[in-house]
Amino acid sequence: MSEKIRLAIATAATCDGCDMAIIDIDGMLLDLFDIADIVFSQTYVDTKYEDLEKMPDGYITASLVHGSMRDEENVHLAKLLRKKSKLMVAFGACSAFGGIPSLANSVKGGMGKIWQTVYGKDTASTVNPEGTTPQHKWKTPLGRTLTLPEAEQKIVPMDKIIDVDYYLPGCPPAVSTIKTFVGAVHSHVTKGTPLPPKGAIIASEKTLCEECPRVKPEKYNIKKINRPYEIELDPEKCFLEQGVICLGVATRAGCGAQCTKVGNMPCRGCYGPTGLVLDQGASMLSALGSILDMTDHELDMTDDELEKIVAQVPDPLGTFYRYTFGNAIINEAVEDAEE
Amino acid sequence: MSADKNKPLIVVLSCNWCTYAGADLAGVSRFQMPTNFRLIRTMCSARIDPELVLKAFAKGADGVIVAGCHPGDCHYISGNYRERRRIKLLEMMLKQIGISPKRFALEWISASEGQKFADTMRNFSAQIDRLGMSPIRIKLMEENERKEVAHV
Amino acid sequence: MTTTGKTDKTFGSVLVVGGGIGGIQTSLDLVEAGFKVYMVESSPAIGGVMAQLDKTFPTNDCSMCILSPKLVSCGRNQNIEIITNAEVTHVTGRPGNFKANINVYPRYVDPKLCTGCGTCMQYCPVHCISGFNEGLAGKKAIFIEFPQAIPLVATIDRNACIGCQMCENVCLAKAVKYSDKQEERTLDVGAVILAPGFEEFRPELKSEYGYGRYPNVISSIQFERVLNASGPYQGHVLRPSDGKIPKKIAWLQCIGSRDPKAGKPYCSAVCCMYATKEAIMTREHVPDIEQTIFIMDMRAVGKGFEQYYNRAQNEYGIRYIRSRIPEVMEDPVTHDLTLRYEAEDGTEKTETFDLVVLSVGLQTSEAVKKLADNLGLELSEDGFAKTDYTNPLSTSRSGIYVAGAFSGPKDIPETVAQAIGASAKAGADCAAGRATSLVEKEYPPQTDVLGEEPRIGVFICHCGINIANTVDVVDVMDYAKTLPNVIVAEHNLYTCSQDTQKLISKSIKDNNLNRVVVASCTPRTHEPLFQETLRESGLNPYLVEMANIREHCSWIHQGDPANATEKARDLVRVAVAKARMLQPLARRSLPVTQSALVIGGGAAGMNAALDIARNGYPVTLIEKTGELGGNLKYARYTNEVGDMQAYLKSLIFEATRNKLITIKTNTILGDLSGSVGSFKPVLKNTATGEKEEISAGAIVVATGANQHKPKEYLYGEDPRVLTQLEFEKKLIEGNGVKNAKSIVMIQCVGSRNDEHQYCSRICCSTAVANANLAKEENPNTEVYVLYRDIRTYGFREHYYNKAREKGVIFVRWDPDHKPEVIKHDGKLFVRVNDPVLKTTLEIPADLLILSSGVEPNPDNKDIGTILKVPINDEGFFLEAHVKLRPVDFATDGVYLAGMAYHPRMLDETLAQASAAAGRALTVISKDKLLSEAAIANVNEDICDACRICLPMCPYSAINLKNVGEKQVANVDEALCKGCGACAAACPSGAMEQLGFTTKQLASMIDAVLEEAVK
Ligand code: SF4
Ligand code: SF4
Ligand code: SF4
Ligand code: FES
Repeated sequence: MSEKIRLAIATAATCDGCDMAIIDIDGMLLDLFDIADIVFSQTYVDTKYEDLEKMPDGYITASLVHGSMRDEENVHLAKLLRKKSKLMVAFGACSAFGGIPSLANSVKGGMGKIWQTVYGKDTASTVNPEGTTPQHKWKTPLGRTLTLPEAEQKIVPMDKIIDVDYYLPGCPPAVSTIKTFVGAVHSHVTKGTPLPPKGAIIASEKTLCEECPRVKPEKYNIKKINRPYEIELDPEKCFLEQGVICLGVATRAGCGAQCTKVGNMPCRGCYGPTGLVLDQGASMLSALGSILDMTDHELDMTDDELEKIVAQVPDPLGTFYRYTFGNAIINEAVEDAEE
Repeated sequence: MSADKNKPLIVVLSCNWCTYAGADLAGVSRFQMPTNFRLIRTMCSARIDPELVLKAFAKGADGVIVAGCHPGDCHYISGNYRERRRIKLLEMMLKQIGISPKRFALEWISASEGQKFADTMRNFSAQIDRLGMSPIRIKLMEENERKEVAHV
Repeated sequence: MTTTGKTDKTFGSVLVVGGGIGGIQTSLDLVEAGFKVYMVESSPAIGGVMAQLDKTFPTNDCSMCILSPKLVSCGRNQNIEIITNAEVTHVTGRPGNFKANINVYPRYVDPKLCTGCGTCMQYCPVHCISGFNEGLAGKKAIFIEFPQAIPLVATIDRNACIGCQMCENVCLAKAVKYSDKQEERTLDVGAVILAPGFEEFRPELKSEYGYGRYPNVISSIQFERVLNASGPYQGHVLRPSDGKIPKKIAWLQCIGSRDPKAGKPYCSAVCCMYATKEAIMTREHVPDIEQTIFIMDMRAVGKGFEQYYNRAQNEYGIRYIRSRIPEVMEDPVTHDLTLRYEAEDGTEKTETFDLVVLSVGLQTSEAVKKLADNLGLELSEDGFAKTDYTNPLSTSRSGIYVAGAFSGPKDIPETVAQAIGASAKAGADCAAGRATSLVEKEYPPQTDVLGEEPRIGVFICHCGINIANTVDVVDVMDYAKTLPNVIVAEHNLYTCSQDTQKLISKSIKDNNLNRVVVASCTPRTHEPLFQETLRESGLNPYLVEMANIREHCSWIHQGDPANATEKARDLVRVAVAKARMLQPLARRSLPVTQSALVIGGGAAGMNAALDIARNGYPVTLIEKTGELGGNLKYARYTNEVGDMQAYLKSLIFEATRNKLITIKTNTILGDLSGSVGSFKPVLKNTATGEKEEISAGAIVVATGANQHKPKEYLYGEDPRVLTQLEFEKKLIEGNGVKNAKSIVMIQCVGSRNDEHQYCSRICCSTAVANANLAKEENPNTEVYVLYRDIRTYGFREHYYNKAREKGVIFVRWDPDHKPEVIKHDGKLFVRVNDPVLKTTLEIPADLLILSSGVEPNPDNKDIGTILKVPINDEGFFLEAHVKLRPVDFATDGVYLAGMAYHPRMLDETLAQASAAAGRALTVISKDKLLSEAAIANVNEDICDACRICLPMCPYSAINLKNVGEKQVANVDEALCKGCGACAAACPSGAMEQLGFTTKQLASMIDAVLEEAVK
C-alpha cells in the first residue's frame, strides 16, 4: 500500500449531515481508510484540540470543515486548521456559503433577538420558566469558572475568515464528489497529478437544469405559484412549469439532481450560485420575476394586481437565499430609520 | 463653499430611451434639483438586474431609483413589464432585509417629462434627507474610519 | 453643391420635401434601400406636427419618446442631407433624372460652428411668440424651437431681432453670422417625394366660436401643447384666462370639417380620435374633470379605435353628445363659456364650460399649394394633391410621389405607411442608380487592444460657459488624473467642435490611449460623434464612455458649484470605471438573400410583389387558393372606381407578366427557419402535398381577411336578405333594384358588437356607394340606411353628401335598440327606433341589405406561429408599433400589408402593400446587413438551456442550439436589439449584454459610492 494522506474532518456549527454523507460512501469508507489517515475529527476519532495544536504547521494534507462559523470556537478552529493544513476545504453549503444557519443573519435585532426567540418565555415552543439563558462565563457553586464560546454577530462563509483552497458545496456534498475529491488529493500527493486550480468549486460550471431530466416548456410563463404540497407533482415536467419554485436554474449542478430526479422535489439551491453571478438569491429572484404571470393586459395592469402576482412568492429572502444568505451581496438584516 | 460629503447619496438606474431622455430634458429646461443623485444608464430598464440594486445598497447608497419608460412606451416593447415584476419582488425582499421601503422607488418617466424627472428627484431626495444615511453606509463609514485609524 | 451628370443618367438620390414624420420615415427607408436623400424642410428644424403632440392614440404613447430616436437617426445619417429653412422652387426632368431648384433662406447662425448649447437664447433680450407652443409661450429672437430639435442649431428670427449683438458676444463658438445670405441650389435627383404635411384649419374663420376673442376658447393643437410636459404650462391643465384648473371642458368637433359652407366639405379623419385622446389624457392630469365631446358621428375606424372609444365612455366617463354647436357665448367677467345646442331629440339645452377646445380640421397650407404650383401638380377640389384610388402614392406628375396628409387627411400610421410606400415607388424609378450616390467613409484599421492594460484619456468639456460656469472643470481634470489607468486628462472649450476632435485624435496617438472618456453632455446626441473620432483614430468606436456633466449636472445645479463639481468628479470616476472594462464591439456582417417571399395573392400581395420586382429583385408570390385576386374577386364597384374587375384583371396581368415574380398557387407556408436576411421558408403545395424549401431575405404577409357571414336578420333564410357584396353584384348585373320600391340597409352587422368589437371601416362607404348606385338605377326607390355612426371618413364624406342629396334616408339607431326584422304576410319590415322623431318606424323592405363586416383570416394563427409573429385578440396580426411601425413586426424581416392587419379600403391596402415592399427592400437591396453592437451573448460553458431567457426577448432572437449532445441558448445576431432583458433574467450568468455586462455595471456602482463612504 502506498503512502497515506492525512485528513482532518472537522465540524463547526453543523447539523452533522455532512458527516452522514461521508459515512454514506458505504463500503468505500474502508477504502478511504486505506488511502487516508484521519488525524483530527470530532466525530470519527478521539482527538482533542491539544492534539491538533501539537501538530506541526502544514502537517495535515487536507482539512474538510463542515458547518458554519456560528461562534468563536468555530472561528478559532478554522484558523487553527488553516495553520496546520496544506489544503483547506469548505465542505458543504454552511461552510461554503453560510448555509441555512446564516439565515439567522436575517433576524432584525441580531443575536439578542434570536436568544429571546429561542429561550424567551413568549415563544410557544419554549419551556423555560426560570428564563435561563446561556452565559459566556459561569461560576459553578464550587467556584470553578466554566466558559461557553461567544456567538458571532454574523455568520459568514469560512473564506471570509481564512483562506480557502477548495469548496465542496451541497447540503450535504454529493457522495461521488467526496470520493473523487479525496481520491484526487491522494493521487496528487502520491503521483503528483495536478489538483484543480485554487479556489475551485468541486462541482459543475453549469446549473442544475443540466442534470435534471425534467421536460421544459417552450416558453415559461408561470400563471400561479404552487407550494409542492398543494398540487399533484408531475414527475416528468419541470417544476417551474408547474408553478413550483425550483432553484435549479440558479444553482450549480453537481449533485446529480437527486431532489428533482429521485425525490420529486424541487431544487432548494444548496450547491450555491454559478461562478458568473454576483448573488444566487438575486439571480433567482430576477429569473422568477421575469417569468411571473405575463398577462395580456399589461398596459392597464394596476399596482394592486401586480402586487398580488408577486405576493404569491412566500418569503422571498428565505426562498431564494435558503443556503447562501451568508454569502449574499447584503448578508445581514439592518435596522433602518423610520421616517 | 465646499461640497458636503455627508449628504445622502442616491443612485438612479435608468433606461436610455425615456428616463435618461427625460433627465436630459430637465437639464435643457434648467430645472434645478438637489445635487445628490448619480444616474447610471442602461439601454432598457429590463437590463437592471436586482443584483445591481442590492449592490448599490450594499455599497452604501442611501436611496436607489430604478426608472424606465411608462407601460406601453418601452423602446423594446415589453422590457418594463418584466422589470416591474422583478422590482416588486425585490421590494418584498428589501423589506425583509430591513431597508426602509422609502429608500427605493420604481418610476416611469418619459422623454417629455423633464418636469416629472425634476420633481421625482426633489421629492425623493427630500424623503431620503428625512431618513438620513442608510445603516449600511453608516457601518461602512465606521469600518473605513477604523481602517484609517489603524493605518495611522 | 451641384452635381452634374449626363442627362440620360439615373440618379441614385431622392428629394424629400417635408421634415415631419412622413418625410423622416421615407428618408430613413430610402437610405436603407441604397439612395441618397436631400430632405428639404421649410422650418428651422425637422419633426413636424408630431414633435408638438403630447400623447398619441390609441395607446397613449408619448409622442416625442417615439419620434426622437428617428429624429436622431436622421440627423446623424451621413446620407441624409437635411436642408432646413428651404423651399423647392422648380423641378424639371423626368423620372430617374430630375433637376430640382431650391431656395435656402438664411439662418444667421453657422450650423457648422453652433453647438446648440443655447447660451444665446438665455441672453437675447427679445421675447416673441413661439410657434411651436402654438402661441401659448414665448421664445427669443434667437431660438432653438424645441430641445430635441434636429439640427440642434440656433436660428435668428430677423423679424424680431433688434440687432443688439448680444448673442454674437456671448457665443463662444463664434457661430452667429448676421451676414448670412439666401442661397440657391440645384439638386440632381431621380425622384421626388412630397410629404409637406398639413396645417390646421384656422378657427378664427368660424367667428361664431369666439376663437381669438374669448381667451378660454382654444384649438385642439394648442390644447395638445397644454397637455405636454414640455409645453407652456409644464403639463398642467390650466385655462388661459386665469390660470385656473378647469372643471368642465367641451370639445367641439368638425371645426373646419364636414362644413361645405366653410369650404371644407370633407371629413378630417383624425379629429374624433385626437379629441377622445385629449379628453382621456386630461383625466390623467385632472382626475375630477368633466369632459364632453360634441360630435356628429364618432368615426373610430382604425385598429383599436373602437375599443378606445368604448373605454373613453366607460372608464373615463367621457360624455359624447350628438350635436353641432351653433355658437359659443362668453361671460365677460368669469370668461366661462356657454353653449346652447339642440339635443338629438330636438330639445334645446344650455350648458356652461370652463374651457372649450375646437377640434380643428386639416387643410393644405398656402405654402404647400404654392409648392404644388411650382411643381406643376394638380390639386383636388379640396386643395389636396390629386391621386388615383388605385395609385394612391402618385401625383399627377410621374416620378413625383406623395405621402401623408398632403394627399388627404390621415393619421400617423397611415402617413408612415404611405411614406415607406413612396420610398418603394421612388426606388423603382431610381433602381438603376441604387447605391451610386451613397457616401461611405474609409477608416484606418483598428488597433487590437484586447488584453492590453487600459490607457485612458479623459476629455472634459467647458461647453462654452454651460458647464464651466458651474463646474470647476480644472478641478475635475486634476481629479481625473489621479484615477487608476488614466494617462491624460484635458479640458476643452467645446469638446464636440471640429478642432477638438483633432486634438483627441492626436492625444490618442501621442499617448497610445486605448480607452477614452468624454465628460460633456448627453451621450444620446453626442456619443456617435466621439465614436466616429475613435474610428478615425484607429480605435474601436465602442471604447469611448461619456459622463454627462451638463444636462445631468451643471444645468440642473446652477446655484451650487461646489456640490456640482463634486458630482462631476463622481460621474467622471464612474465613467472611468466603466471605460476600464470596455471591450471592443463589432457589428457583425450577416449575409442577405436578395429576394423576397410574399404570402397571399390578393390586391395587397400582388402589389407588394410588383413593387419589389420593379425595384429589380426576385419575388416568390404564394397563394393558398387556385387563383389570384383574393377579396378583390368579389368587388365590383366602389365610390371611386367604376369597374373593379377591370382593375383586377390588369393587376393579374401585370403580376403574371413580370419575369421577376414567381407565382405559386395552391401553395401555403409550411415551415420556416432562419431569420432576417436569410429565411428558409418551406412551401407546401396543398394539392400535391409536395414541399419545397426556398430562400428569402424578407417576407411579406398579405393574407387578407374574410367577409363576415351574418347570423341574424333572416340572412340565409330569406332570399331578399343580401350582404352588400351580393347586392353590389346584382346592381352591376343590372337586376338589382328595378322592382324594389324600398331598400333597407342595416349597418354594423357583425361589427362593433360583443363578437367583434372593432369597426370594419369599409361598410359605411360601401353602403353609401351602393345606395347611390341604386338611386341612379331607380331614382324612385326609397333607400334607407340604418346606421350607428356614418363613418365615411376623409374624402368619402363627399359620397355621403351625395347620397343625402339624392334622397337616401339615414336613420340612426343605438345598440340598446337594434333594428328588428319582421316577416308579415310574406313581406319584410324593419322596425327601428328613430331618436330624432322619437318614434318607432316600421319600414317595408323589398330588399334588406346587410353591411356585414370584415373578419380576420382564420389561418392567421397558424401563419403567426410559423413566422413567430403575434396575433392580437381580435385575430388580426399585431404590428411592431401602432404608430410608427405599422407594417413591421417586432421580428425583423417580416412585414405586413392589407386586411391581414385590419380592415382597409383598397387605396389604403395599396399604400400598405407598397410600404411592406419598401420595408422588405431595406433588407434585400443590400447583400449584407449589420447586427447591433451591444447585443446579448451567451457563455456556452455556463448556459444549460434553462430557457428562462427565451420569453424575455420581444424579438424572438433567442433560440436553443445543440452543442454536442447538450443544448445551449443562442442569440440570433440579426434579431437582437440589445435591450438586455435576457441578461438580467439569466440566473446562471451565462447571458451577458455586451457593452452593459454585469461586471461593467457593477464596477460603475462600486465607483459611484467610493467617495461617499470614506
Ligand atoms: S425542475 Fe428545476 S432543475 Fe429541473 S429543469 Fe426545472 S428549473 Fe431546472
Ligand atoms: S437564461 Fe441563461 S442559462 Fe438559461 S438558457 Fe438563457 S442563457 Fe442559458
Ligand atoms: S438583449 Fe434583448 S433583444 Fe437581445 S436577445 Fe436579449 S432580450 Fe432579445
Ligand atoms: S427602453 Fe425604457 S424601459 Fe425599456
